[in-house]
Amino acid sequence: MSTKKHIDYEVEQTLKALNKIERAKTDDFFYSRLMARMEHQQQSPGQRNSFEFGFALAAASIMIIASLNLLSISAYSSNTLQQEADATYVLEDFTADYQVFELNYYNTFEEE
Amino acid sequence: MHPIQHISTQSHRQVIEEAKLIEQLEQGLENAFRHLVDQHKDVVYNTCLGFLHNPHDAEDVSQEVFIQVFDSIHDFRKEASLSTWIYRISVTKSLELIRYRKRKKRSWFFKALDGMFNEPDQEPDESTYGHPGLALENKERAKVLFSEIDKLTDKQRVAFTLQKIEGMSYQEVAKIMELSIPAVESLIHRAKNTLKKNLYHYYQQNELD
Repeated sequence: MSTKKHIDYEVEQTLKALNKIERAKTDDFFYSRLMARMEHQQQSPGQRNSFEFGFALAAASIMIIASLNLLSISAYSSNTLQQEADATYVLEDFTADYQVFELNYYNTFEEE
Repeated sequence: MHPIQHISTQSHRQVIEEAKLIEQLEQGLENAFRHLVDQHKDVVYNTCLGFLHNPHDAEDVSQEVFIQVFDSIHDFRKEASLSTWIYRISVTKSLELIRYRKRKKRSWFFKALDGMFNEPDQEPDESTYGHPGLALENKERAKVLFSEIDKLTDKQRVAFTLQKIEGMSYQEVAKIMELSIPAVESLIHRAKNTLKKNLYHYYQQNELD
């Protein structure tokens, strides 16, 4: 119970911590620094857009990685189809050469 | 002169002065801009500091606020007063920096890119964390409270900070947030309840440790 009381006290004191907060003030050179920054930005507008450039570069990188992935997936799937076609062709070729499925194979013996 | 009439004459004079100042700012007169900065710099700085808890960041964002005011004074719609508009920019810019830092923490990829293309002062300066207006004996408690305020939703945080740190009335907060007064009251009430609950949890854990 005493722990609960103690915690309640801490919570109350912490909530009151901002009650006597004094207003913060800038110094007398704020305007000079502001003007210097504005002049600097006017002189080098390229730096101003560094975040946009970074973001654009990140987006472009993601697009390139995604398209490379898509390309490799499509290349792999077309390769698989080609391999399947090749395998079928080899089988058919083999069948034709050795007449594996010659239906009248036994008939030829009977005829003899 | 009757006091009400005196106040109304004074506010009328302020409106005229503000209209004149805006006109001069639109013309790009440096004296007008200097006057505006001198008039609002402490308010802007204090507001930014309330959200960012870091004098270096607050100074940086305050400068950005005035640069935006200078760049977009032609877009000022005059529906609210100039100071309300400046407050809104201060709040938006401060929250932008907070969100930007959160995004950066989440993604190492963007962190690497930002390191390459942004200036180093966009990193938080932990050594100066705090508010210079705090009494020494309250600094530790305030640090705990600030970290809990940072976990509130954006709306609750804005309402609570403006009312508690800036010392604004509900009406002023409502104007800045473009909400009704009951909505602001509800936001602050919920913020206080969440803070109480979270602080209790914080001290309970620390008590156990």
